[in-house]
Amino acid sequence: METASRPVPAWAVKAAVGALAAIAIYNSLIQFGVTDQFSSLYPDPYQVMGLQARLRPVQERVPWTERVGYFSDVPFTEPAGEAAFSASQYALAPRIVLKEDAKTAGQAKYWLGVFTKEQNFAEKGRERGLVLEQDLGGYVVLYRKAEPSQ
Amino acid sequence: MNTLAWVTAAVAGWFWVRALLPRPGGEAGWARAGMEAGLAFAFGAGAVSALFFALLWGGMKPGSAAWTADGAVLAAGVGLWWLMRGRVREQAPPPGGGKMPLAWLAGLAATGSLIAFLAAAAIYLRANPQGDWDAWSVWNTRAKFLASDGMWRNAASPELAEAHPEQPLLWPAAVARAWSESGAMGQEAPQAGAFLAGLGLLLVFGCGIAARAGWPWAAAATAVLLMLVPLWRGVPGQSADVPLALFLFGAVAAAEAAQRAGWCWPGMALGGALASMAAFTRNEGLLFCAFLGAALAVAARARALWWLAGAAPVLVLTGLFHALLAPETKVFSWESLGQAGRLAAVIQAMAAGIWKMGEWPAHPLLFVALLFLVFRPEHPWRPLWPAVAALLMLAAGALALWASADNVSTEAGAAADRLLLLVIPILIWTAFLWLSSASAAAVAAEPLPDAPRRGAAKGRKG
Repeated sequence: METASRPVPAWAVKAAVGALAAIAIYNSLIQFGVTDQFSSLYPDPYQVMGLQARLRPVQERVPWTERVGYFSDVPFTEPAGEAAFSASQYALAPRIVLKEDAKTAGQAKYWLGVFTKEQNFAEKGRERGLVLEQDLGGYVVLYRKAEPSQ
Repeated sequence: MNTLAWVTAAVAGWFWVRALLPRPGGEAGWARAGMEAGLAFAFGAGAVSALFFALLWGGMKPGSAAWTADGAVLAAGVGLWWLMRGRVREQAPPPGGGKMPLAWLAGLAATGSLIAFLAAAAIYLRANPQGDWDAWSVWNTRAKFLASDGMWRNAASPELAEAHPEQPLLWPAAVARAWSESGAMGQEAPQAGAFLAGLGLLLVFGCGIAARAGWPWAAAATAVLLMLVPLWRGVPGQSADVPLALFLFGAVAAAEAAQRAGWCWPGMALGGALASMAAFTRNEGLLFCAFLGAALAVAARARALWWLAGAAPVLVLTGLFHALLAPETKVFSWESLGQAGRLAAVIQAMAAGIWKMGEWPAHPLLFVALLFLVFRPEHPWRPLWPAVAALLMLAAGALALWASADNVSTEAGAAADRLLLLVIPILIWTAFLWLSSASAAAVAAEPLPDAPRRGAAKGRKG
């Protein structure tokens, strides 16, 4: 292997290694501090674990093979709307969660409503032909498709 | 048990790595053991997960598929290791790195950075056990389908549009296998997998250089690698990019070891297998696998066929996944290529990603440049092919982003970070191989006055 053969001044190597070590230590302290601060200020920023705990009764009630419909008062174009939907899918997998405008959403027997404020949840369901099954707290509601006779 | 599954995968992988990886010359036994441990985790986790998925596809239940995959990879590994005993090729003796003054300082920096890195990962995971967005909304959501009896096919259902069903399933299969073996979908499984993948990357990286150039060069290189900000975010974030980076880097390290043993077939096959695991981890991995294969075909010529042979099993599985399971999605668009504004946005995102990949002045490229200025390695820089492959991957990644159907203004930043996490470790590693070789040659020409030989130093201590 052909490589350099010119001598390297020792002071230059010492300076480079010294600078590398000092800056690397500085960087590790900065990165640790940033991570620590972010973790303290924003634990579970999208409330994924919180929603998972809240949806535990749904996991027990709805079979794996069911599709679960989903609607919300937060539009999907906003990160919060997208996060709430994806977090619901994560919590309810292996059930497939479908947005209300999805082609196959009509097949869903159970529906999930995720809201940002207190409102008439039963009325929101009725508008979609759904019956309120259980208020899960935290503005999260489980609905069931109304039977034709209802 | 959620975490033990990763250890059993690594044990199964260890026999394969022990049988296929050419032994480094020299005396750094700990460096060899560390490199083997990192590669064993990568190969073991990749092989058992790919087989687990194939068995699910074949109709097995998740629990049976997981244990069968473990048993098969372990048994085949032990058999191969038995057959290869005494036949494992030796790498050419390493040139060694020149002595490094203040090496203890580099060691201190690497150790301190590593402790801070692991501690930061632990703190982040305690506050965010579910990891970052991609981890819970894509990879671990799909893992839940694979781990649930009879539901695996939904992991690639077009109804799962937000969870990217078009992406391949190696990492979700790895997590699902751990869940299937433990019988519970605990958050510890993806956490441990991401943590061990990050650690494996650092082990292969650091020990690979230590085996070639000694611990001072490994320490300096590790300190530089730990300046890479996307690595600090990626490991606790549990995204599939960290295992992808490990597979790609492992593929390069194994092929480089094979080159040092005369492009021996076992090392080439190991490199090919690891690259194919990258192809089954993300769609981009397939592109990177192709470019790595092309760079090796130029460098190793006909011996690259062994690399292809090693890659073939998982590449076939990847091809079958895309042909038969993955929903059709518009990944690329000719219209996107016609938009100059998209190209400008991609270039801007790549430039911003490169600028922000280190917290100035702690920037990996700054320190690589500084060391080049000091040691000035002369041409030709060898080995060149890993750097060529990494730069091709970078260019291909940028091109794919330009041609993608995604909204470039929202996706480009994250995509650039992902891309840099994959290629920068390869580039830093290659640069340190050149630097350490140049340093060795320089010392041979005129030993540094402040760099006493090991024996002399010992003598002074006494």
